[in-house]
Amino acid sequence: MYRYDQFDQKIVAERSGQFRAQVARRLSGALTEDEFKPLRLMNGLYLQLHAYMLRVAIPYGTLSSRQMRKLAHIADKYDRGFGHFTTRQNLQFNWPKLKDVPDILDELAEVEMHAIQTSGNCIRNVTADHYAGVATAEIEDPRPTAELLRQWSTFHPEFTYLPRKFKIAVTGADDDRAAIMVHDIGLKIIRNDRGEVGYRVILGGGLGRTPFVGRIVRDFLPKAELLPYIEAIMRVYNTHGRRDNKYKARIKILVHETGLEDLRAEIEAEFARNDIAAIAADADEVARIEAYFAAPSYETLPQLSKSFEIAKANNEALGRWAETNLADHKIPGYSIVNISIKPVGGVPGDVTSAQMIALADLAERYSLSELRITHRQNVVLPYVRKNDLEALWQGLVGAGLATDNIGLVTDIIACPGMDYCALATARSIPVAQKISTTFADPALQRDIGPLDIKISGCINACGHHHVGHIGILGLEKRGEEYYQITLGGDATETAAIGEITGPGFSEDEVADAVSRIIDTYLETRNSGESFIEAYRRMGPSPFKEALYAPH
Amino acid sequence: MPLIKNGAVQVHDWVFVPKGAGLPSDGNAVVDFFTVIEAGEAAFRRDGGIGVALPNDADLGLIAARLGRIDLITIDFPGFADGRGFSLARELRHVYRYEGELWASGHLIPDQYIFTRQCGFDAVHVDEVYFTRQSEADWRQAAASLNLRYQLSHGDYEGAPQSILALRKAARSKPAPTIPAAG
Repeated sequence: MYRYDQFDQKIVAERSGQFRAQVARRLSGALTEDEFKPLRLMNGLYLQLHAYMLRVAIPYGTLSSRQMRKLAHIADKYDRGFGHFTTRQNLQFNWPKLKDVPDILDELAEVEMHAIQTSGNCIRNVTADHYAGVATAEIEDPRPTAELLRQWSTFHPEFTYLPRKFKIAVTGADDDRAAIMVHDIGLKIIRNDRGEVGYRVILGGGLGRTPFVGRIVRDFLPKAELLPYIEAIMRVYNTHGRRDNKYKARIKILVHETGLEDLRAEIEAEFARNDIAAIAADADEVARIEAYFAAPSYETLPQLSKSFEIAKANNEALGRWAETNLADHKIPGYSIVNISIKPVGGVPGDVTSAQMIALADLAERYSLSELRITHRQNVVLPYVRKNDLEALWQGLVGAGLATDNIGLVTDIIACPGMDYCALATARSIPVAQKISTTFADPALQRDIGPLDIKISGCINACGHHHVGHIGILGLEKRGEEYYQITLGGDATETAAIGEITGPGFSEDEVADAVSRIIDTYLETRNSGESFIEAYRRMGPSPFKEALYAPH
Repeated sequence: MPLIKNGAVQVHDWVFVPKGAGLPSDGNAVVDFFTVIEAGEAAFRRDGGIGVALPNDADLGLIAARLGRIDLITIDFPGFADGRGFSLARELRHVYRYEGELWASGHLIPDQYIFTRQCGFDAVHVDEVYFTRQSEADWRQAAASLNLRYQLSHGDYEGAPQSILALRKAARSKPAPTIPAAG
């Protein structure tokens, strides 16, 4: 993985010192709260319902065992012993004190981490496929691109006071695990007819109040022209993006109101009048970054591990876990291991400091000290030898991290909701807990098969409800929380925004409503047909019937 | 309105002509964008420097032909969170090759000083009301708070953040250290 050089290290340390001075100026009154707010946001610090919240950047979701141990240490020393993985591959601490935050940033800097641009109207932490570098069908590893963009966007002098936040995601695989279709910019590494590697650039996707699936703005962008082209997009957005209404300020609205063709022409004109060679990353610099992501030295192993096959056959729980939580690795004899942070009845994405330490230890022992955080709020160990899977699983069982539900109905994405968040209109966590308890039975979960439930506690859609197969949006009317259900959403390469079924449900009714949707699927599916496939074949009618027809 | 340049308040002799008022016959005068466009050549037929105050959404094409004769441009920051002025400054410097003096004017905070310089501004001309809260020392401290950058810069000055990319390049071009043979 990437390692800071002396310059990366110095800039992060200076940033922490800068924030310390900003806090002092806020406390002295030199900075008003209005002026301080964007500064603290650009250091990941929110003021939530009960306390400050610090969002730590985990660039493209990759972190080392050493970094994970530091997060555990921070959780214990400055917080309440836990953290929360987010849908943008970051980690949030829910209870830090303002006076401690500069010290926390110093501690993060010690392990090459920061909270830079994890909030605010700037270019946010760049996300990427969590199987980067180990996926079976990948044109190229997306992490060097993400790291190049991380550096380029860090304290960008021109693009730090944008109309609104700006999110970029990168994938190098056909199976889109990075939700590139619903980002401000989605980059897909592709190979053109001439065998050259470049990017397909997707623009103007996004969730929130007005969801849009992104559209192709450039079918093929040569790799070397990435930064000049992104700069052109950013300049057009910074200049023309709406600033009169924060709900209409994202680039998706600019794309929608200007029209893709006209906006593309503007971007291309801006691109053409710039000094492309001067802005483009130096090939040596790209090579320097890429070298950090070179494949580790893998052992030559047989595709199947005999010992693991025997262990699975003799241990039903291990077999069940292997069935859902393992993914194919590009190297024979290795597995990608998904660790579910969705225990039945638990809080999606929450980990205790003890679990962080366990994750760090297990990654060190079995995955070359590297972990990935997924936008689905789970953890991935990317380099596990199949021969080690049983021992790893034992370790996970001991840490309470062996939940075998990846991709199933209980693997629910949920934002923190009104239990923490100042923007929320309803709670998300209790709804997730209720649904996951309803479907706790492992056999039932497997019978239902792949199903994404995504829950947001407000229209800002941090829980990605628009792109859940079943999406749940918590709203509030006359002091009562209620939940709107959408169906048919999809965050992958076949991205779609879910359709609202009809009137919402109270908190007490929502788990039952989800049950009725799932019962309808089970009754009407064709053999081997997943929920989303069945929905696409039948449309919303049978599900609406089940939800709203008088019984 | 105090003018802050290189971390210190500077004295200047520019007069800001209110909208609708006639151009003074001499002296350094800053006139608003639309008045200059209306005045045409007359704005340049006087003794003294001419400055133009641009709104942050100005169409630079309208004054492109006269940029070479403009001595000072100020770009308005109606609020510090409105970053359009950064892109406009860059466009002036990079696309229109404007080489005169360039000030960021209005509501800015010290933490933006470095960014203004990197986008091609020479100085920050800040509203009095903000300067009373954020002293010269705050501006000086903020200006020195970051010494490195990852991007191109459109202005070089003493104490400017150094380019990490250039530093890396320089390190690469140095000959590799010779390792003494064992023994």
